[in-house]
Amino acid sequence: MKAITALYLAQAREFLRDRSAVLFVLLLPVVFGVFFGLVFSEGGSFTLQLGLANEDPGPMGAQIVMNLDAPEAKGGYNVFTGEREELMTILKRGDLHALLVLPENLSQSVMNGQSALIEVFYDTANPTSADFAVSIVRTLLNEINLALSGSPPILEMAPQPVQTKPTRSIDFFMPGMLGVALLWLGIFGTAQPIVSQRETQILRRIGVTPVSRLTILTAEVSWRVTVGLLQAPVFLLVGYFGFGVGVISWPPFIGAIVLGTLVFVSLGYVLAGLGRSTESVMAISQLINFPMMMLSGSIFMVEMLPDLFKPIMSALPLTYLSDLLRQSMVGATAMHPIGLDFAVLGGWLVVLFILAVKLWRWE
Amino acid sequence: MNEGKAIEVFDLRKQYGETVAVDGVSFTVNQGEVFGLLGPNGAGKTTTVECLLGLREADGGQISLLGVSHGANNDQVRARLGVQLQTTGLLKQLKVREQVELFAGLFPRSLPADEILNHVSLLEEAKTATKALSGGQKQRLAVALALINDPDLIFLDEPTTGLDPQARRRLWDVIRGLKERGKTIMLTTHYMEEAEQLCDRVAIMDHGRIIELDHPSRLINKYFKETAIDFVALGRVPREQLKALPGVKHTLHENGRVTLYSSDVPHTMSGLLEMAKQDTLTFKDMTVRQATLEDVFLKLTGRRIRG
Repeated sequence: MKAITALYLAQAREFLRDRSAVLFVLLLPVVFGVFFGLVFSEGGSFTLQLGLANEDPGPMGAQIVMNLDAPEAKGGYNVFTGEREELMTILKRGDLHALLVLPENLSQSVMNGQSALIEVFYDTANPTSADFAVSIVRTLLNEINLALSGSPPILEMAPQPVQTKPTRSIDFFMPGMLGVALLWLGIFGTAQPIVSQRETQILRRIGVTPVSRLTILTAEVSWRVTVGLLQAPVFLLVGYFGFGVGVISWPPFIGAIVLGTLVFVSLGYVLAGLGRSTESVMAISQLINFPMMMLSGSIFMVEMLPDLFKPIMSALPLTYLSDLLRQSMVGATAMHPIGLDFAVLGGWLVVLFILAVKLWRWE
Repeated sequence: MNEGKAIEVFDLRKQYGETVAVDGVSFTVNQGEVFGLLGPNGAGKTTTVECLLGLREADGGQISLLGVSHGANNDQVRARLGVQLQTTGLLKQLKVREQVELFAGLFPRSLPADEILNHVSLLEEAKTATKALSGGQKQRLAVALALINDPDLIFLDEPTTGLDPQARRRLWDVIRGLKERGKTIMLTTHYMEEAEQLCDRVAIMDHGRIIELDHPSRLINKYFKETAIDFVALGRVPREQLKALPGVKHTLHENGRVTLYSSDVPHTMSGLLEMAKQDTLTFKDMTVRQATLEDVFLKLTGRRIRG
């Protein structure tokens, strides 16, 4: 026990004083989580920028402008009024999505019971916003038509939004980066320090003291598991107090953190066993790191990946860890049942543990 | 095995692929003795030590440490060993005292960290990070780690290699202090002077074999009843005439530096002075000295130990 404590403490000091290890393993993942969450949060709500040129001198045009521009009417769009030419320039510059022109004869025609033509110009460069613009304008015109005809609406819509968990992008990225943090614990917090310690032959030196090899490994692995268990509180503190991202279901969350830590620490030992020098281990590590990060759905949504990558994705342990973390932290829609997630991670742990033991070298 | 023996090695063999590193080495080290393994780089000294410590698996032979066969595999024996390896094996982020405390934690019994640091004159650096130490300080720290458990048998693998003369002398003092306290020390070195100064017995190793083993001064007496006369010759060296001088048994001549091994120094000297008078020889920097282990190694192998 004395020996385990001494070795554990030495590993802890060695890790905590190594700036690059602390940066990569403890700080960078949470910083990335927050950064991605904030940068990509724009995409969540789309606001239509609508130009409105009123050329009608009569009351009809003024009425429409007032209705559109009324604060309570604004749902999903901003209105900019101005001259046709001026607004057209803005539309062409890409700062407006659509431009409505109320014709000169609008009031006249309506009063005479004739139909008038309202021109709508829209930017086709972005098909989504173009569709959205046209449909909003169509809805607006329908409402106006209905109001002018004076007949009461026969069918009305009663919108009842059902509040599912809001999917903000911070909700996506925080659990995803926590998964990546555990991956990096394996690479930068395990594989890298082990090879460099092997190069300085410290393990060899400890090998000629009366300490068993099992004791040495127990102390080392305990410290790395501690780091894994420290990462979760870091994410929860920043996530909860900064963005309200907490945990909604603790048992699977804790299970995911413990199992994920063990899987990726084992992966680190496997990587350290595969290469001889620091350089070769880092090269092999990057070969694992990037595909794992990109294809596991941790930072890119699974739907965004081409079908070609789907088999790889469904083989990676991080895919299942991210799924577990998203389900247990923000209640995201499950990609897999929780039981399957745990089963796959458990399977990976067994495989990696056996490989780690087989590939382990003292020097 | 014998009680009084700290180390017994019989017919140790180790091969790396085609290269024979250790080729049938046998020796014993008595308790309380400082035993030197002396030889040039690549002679097989480190491999021998690593086999003794169980860091390498020998291809053949018998080893016993502190009376236990293959003692390095035994926890009780390892608890009584102090080891300094050529690769110092230090954690670079730890401070000096933390490094000592780590190793103190690995043994059932240990000496106070500060006592050990004081012993190797590193007490002032106790709070220095290991990575900030000089080569000599790291070497002394590695020796300190070998002493933390107050061991009975200490292995020092080239402890002074790469140190400046002052640091080397300081380590010699540490080793002498250990000897006074009755420790058994096995030391490898390629410094002749170090072996002469510190060792009770020296095994001279070359090409994986022990070619001589005895007390340093007995080795010198065995090979050189003669006294060495060194000088630097200016101009032509009349080698035949030098060999023919009275009392000269053996001559060496290297880059103008001449060594005459003489059994009759007064007659050899007067012969030399006679040659100088007749202008057949001009010389400077003449010294008369006892032969050293360097001379022994040179005579045994035909090579100098360094370079």
